[in-house]
Amino acid sequence: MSFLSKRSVLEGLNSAKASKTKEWRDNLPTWCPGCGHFTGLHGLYEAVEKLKIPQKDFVVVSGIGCSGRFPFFIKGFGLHGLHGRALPLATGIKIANPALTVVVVGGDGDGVGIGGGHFPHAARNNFNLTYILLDNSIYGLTKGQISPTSPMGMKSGTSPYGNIARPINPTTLALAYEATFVARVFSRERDMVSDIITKAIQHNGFSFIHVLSPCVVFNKLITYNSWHEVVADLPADHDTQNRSKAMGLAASIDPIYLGIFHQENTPSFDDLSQQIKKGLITPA
Amino acid sequence: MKSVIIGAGVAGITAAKTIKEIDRDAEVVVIGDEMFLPYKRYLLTELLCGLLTQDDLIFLSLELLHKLDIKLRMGESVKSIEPSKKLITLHHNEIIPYDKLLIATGCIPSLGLILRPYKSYIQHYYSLNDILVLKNRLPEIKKCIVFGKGVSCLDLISGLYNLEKQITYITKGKRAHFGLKESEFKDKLHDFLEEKGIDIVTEDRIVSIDTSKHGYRVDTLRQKKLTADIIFGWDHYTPNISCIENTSIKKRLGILVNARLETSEKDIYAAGDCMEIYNPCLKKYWINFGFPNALEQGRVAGENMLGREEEYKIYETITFNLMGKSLKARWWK
Amino acid sequence: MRYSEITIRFCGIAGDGVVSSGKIFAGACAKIGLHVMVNDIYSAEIRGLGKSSSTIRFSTSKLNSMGDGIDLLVGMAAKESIVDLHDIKQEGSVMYDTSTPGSVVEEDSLVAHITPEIHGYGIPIKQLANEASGTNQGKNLVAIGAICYFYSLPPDMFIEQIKAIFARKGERIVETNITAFRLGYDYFKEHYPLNNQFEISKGLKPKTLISGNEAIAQGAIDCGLKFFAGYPITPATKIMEIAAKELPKLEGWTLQMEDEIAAISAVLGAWFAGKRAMTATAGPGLSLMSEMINMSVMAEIPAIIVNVQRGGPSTGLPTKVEQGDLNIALYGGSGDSPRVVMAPCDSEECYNGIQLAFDIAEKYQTPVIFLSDLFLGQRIETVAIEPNIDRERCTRKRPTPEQLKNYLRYQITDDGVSPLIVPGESGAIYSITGLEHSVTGNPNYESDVHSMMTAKRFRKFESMVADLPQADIIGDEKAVIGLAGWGSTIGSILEGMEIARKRGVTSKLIKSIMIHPQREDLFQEFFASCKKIIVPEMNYQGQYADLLKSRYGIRPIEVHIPSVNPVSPLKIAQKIMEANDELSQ
Repeated sequence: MSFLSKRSVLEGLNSAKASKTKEWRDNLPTWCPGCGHFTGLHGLYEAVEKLKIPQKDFVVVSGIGCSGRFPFFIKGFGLHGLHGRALPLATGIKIANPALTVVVVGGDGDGVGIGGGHFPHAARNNFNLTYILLDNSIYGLTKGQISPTSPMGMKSGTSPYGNIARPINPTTLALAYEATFVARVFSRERDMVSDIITKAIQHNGFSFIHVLSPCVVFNKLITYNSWHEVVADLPADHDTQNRSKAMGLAASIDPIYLGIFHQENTPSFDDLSQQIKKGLITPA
Repeated sequence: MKSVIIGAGVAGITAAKTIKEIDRDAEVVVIGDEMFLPYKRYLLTELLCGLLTQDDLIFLSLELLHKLDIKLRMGESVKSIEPSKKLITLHHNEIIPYDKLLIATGCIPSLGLILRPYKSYIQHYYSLNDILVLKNRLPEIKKCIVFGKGVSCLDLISGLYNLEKQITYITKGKRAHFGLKESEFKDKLHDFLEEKGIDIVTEDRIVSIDTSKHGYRVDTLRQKKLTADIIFGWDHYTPNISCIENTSIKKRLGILVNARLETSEKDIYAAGDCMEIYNPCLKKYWINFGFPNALEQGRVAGENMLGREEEYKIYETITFNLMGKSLKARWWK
Repeated sequence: MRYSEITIRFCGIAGDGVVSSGKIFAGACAKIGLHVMVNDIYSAEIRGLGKSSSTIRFSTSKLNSMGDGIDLLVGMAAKESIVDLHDIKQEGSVMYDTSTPGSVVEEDSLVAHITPEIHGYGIPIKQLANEASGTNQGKNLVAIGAICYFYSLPPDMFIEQIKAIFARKGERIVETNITAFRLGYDYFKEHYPLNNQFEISKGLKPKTLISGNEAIAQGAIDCGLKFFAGYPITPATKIMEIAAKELPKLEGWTLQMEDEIAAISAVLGAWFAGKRAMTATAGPGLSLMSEMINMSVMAEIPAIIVNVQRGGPSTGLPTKVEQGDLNIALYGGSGDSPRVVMAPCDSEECYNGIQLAFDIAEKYQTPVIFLSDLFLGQRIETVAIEPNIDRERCTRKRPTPEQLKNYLRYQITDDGVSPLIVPGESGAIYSITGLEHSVTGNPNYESDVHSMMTAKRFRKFESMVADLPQADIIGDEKAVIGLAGWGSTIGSILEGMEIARKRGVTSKLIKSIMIHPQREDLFQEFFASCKKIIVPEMNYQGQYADLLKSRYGIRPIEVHIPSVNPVSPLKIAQKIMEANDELSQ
């Protein structure tokens, strides 16, 4: 325990202190030392830096929860919205101004709990949004209650006898929701996180990244260590065009695969709506 | 007990009133094919002439209708009667059951074979609706042709005369007598009318009608060519009893009834101009026309429908107001 | 009889073409140049025994409401029309189908329920329709033909309207429909020649028909609506349907969202990105939107929420009218949550009002709840709307170069409005939140900051008043009986006042599209000049009366009409007469 937490704290601090991305750093993050979210933030710094996105054209939208403060930690425009509503807020922004790069950040409670009804529709519409779901399987900001991704048996203030509900898997959900870019990363793998966030932002259409992002304070069951033992890279020959295969791999709990499960080049919402706007498709 | 009365004329309404006055709790439905409250048909000419208003003609007011609790159904006609099931079917396929049924559908003017093809050129002169339509047309009418033989022709002629219209009367007879064989005028009626300026064409009849720019052209049997803005005419009155077709109710021209106004079918009665009753003076069945007769027949029918035993006595004379002169007549020898 | 104003109701079930009868009839009357108002009522169930009716009132002079009672009922479905007989005026009429197949018992027969006070006209509607089309289609046109003769309206206009409406269905349909119309016309002429005269004065100009929903959609589009997000809900869906068709042609977009929460969220997102956006909903949807409307208040992101009120609470009465959402509009937010509430009273105000709503929302960075209602939203009426088209309209307060040097998203200003730039614009970046925040937008929970920011948000409502329209005072200025009303009830109030005036009692009305904020000075002055104040509205609680009572300290006569139908002008007139009697005692 002591070894693990020390290491995570260091990792977290290191992530936020990378000097290359100084230009993008804003308010000092308010997360606990060692929080997995630092890696997500760092990955986004590196991605937008690498992609040379003008800050005036960059918008981060978040919901409520520990991940919700994200917009205040990165330069650009930010909208810290309501619990669960980050995706539809971002949808409005992106449709109003398709030139903007819009990244949505949320937690597991935000994305597949209270906001679970929005996720499928943002995905199936193939909006040009990047959705980073920072999954710590716990409600951290309210000090440790079970979330939709918490394992069975987890005890918490609101599940004193242990969680009797089955956890859901955000990666398989995204695949089922017809997302055109689906990836899973682990916040210990900094380079992979940065790389995949970059690819996700570049993707034409809806890109989803499931970040395994441990909560070092409240989640005693799912930790850096517990995840570290089960994660594995996707098989080298994995076909990112094959959704049903991807489903099988994404559903696996041992190992928990990391990498890009699915990436499909298909017209995005912007492409299709442009055709209608240009009069190429006429109403009935 | 539910009494259904077909016909909202004088006979029908009088029967309804009679029933309700005797038995408050009886259910009475009156079905009339006209769209107006029951009115006195014999005053229509006065309405045309503007001597009376439409309200003056009302025979049964709304207030009385509600007070007596008579259900009046206006503008509806009966398609068929099923005496065995004691049901009637209305024109729109509604079925109404009855305990006692009175047919008081009256007579309607009709045309013979020769004039029937020209039906649409001939103005109806029978119902309140006809008179209201005619009233709207009055200003554009100057010359009128009247053809027919009954006393109602005389009524129309006197009306048109009052309205200062130019009138030509065509009759098959040698003289204009309107069927009034015994009257105070005796044979002077013809001369009286001519004195008043009415053009009378005798021993002739209309054989064809055509439209012209300004109205109608009429050819007669004697090859007279006449023009008019409007043509009135009817050959005879016939009882309006199409509703008893396909039933076994006995009829000749009209529905045959006994002195208690019962038809040949149980619980079905008839009254007014649609029925024929045995006239002991004439020694044959005969239609007993006229307002006072209808009134009395309605009363007798109503009482009998309630199970009383009333007999109808034939009245012989009618009184008629002709251009200010009172005229008493009998219609048969 | 001679008429200068008529109310007709078509009543039937699915397949009778009731609503299209109303449309054809209204269209023809508008072509003639008459003033028309149409109100459709239907059940929430689409199929089955669902009854629907279309009531058309037309007149040679301007119409304010649907009035009281009907002159003619067209009973396309006999049994379903029986209850509507009660609405027929004295000496009014009913047309019914005599060619119904099978037999009917007295209780189910429309004809059996016709009292001698009204006139029944039997027409073999189905039979004539079959003659024309070989099917039951065109029954409604047979009836329209009959009515055309009955009121001696010009048949040419109807034939033109039939051609216009059915043209896209092909020539054959046009022909059979015209034949059905002619058969109805001729049948009626032959059997009921004694018709009525509807007096059409000369020089009438053809008018256009528009519903409140259409007027709102058009008004919004004309003033620069670029994004509509919504979720289908009766009776607001029509607004979304128009936006869906029109916006893509204007570089805009309409998105059907997964729920009303998503809809209002997307609207806020679009406003955040600097585009004019709106949603439209009804009670259940407004309830779902409450939280995001509060976000709009807190983060000062504009929003336009059209709420077409239907009967409530809960799912309530989806297809019936009520003015029960005033309280949720005014007070439906947690915390101190000021919002603009507007309520148009007719289609013209729907068009102009929604444009004002956009201007206010954008300028003052506030949500605007625009309260229409089912009756206003769905009724079609002839109105002369002066188009006001400026699709680039923008009332956003932008920062000066000086302000941009140290840009503060929530800069404290005298009028409460902070200069605003939006994503994609150069000069400044910022992040904002639904949390209480400092002038920069960063979360801040200090007591002083919260007080200052709350005051700022309320200050906007004071400075806004200068931009608000005057309140309208209608009627006899010297009258001591005053009425106050809102929304579609205004039309019935105006007509009720006119009825009372004809009976010798004058009154006056104060009305404003603005419910909150209001020109309080004008209202104060108006109420001070009244000895009796009557506040009629279509809800049980007297929600507007409550607002006026607390705001102006008045003690009005409240008329609460939780009716599912538009308010009866006669009822208003009675209240005025009663108030007058009390005054003269």
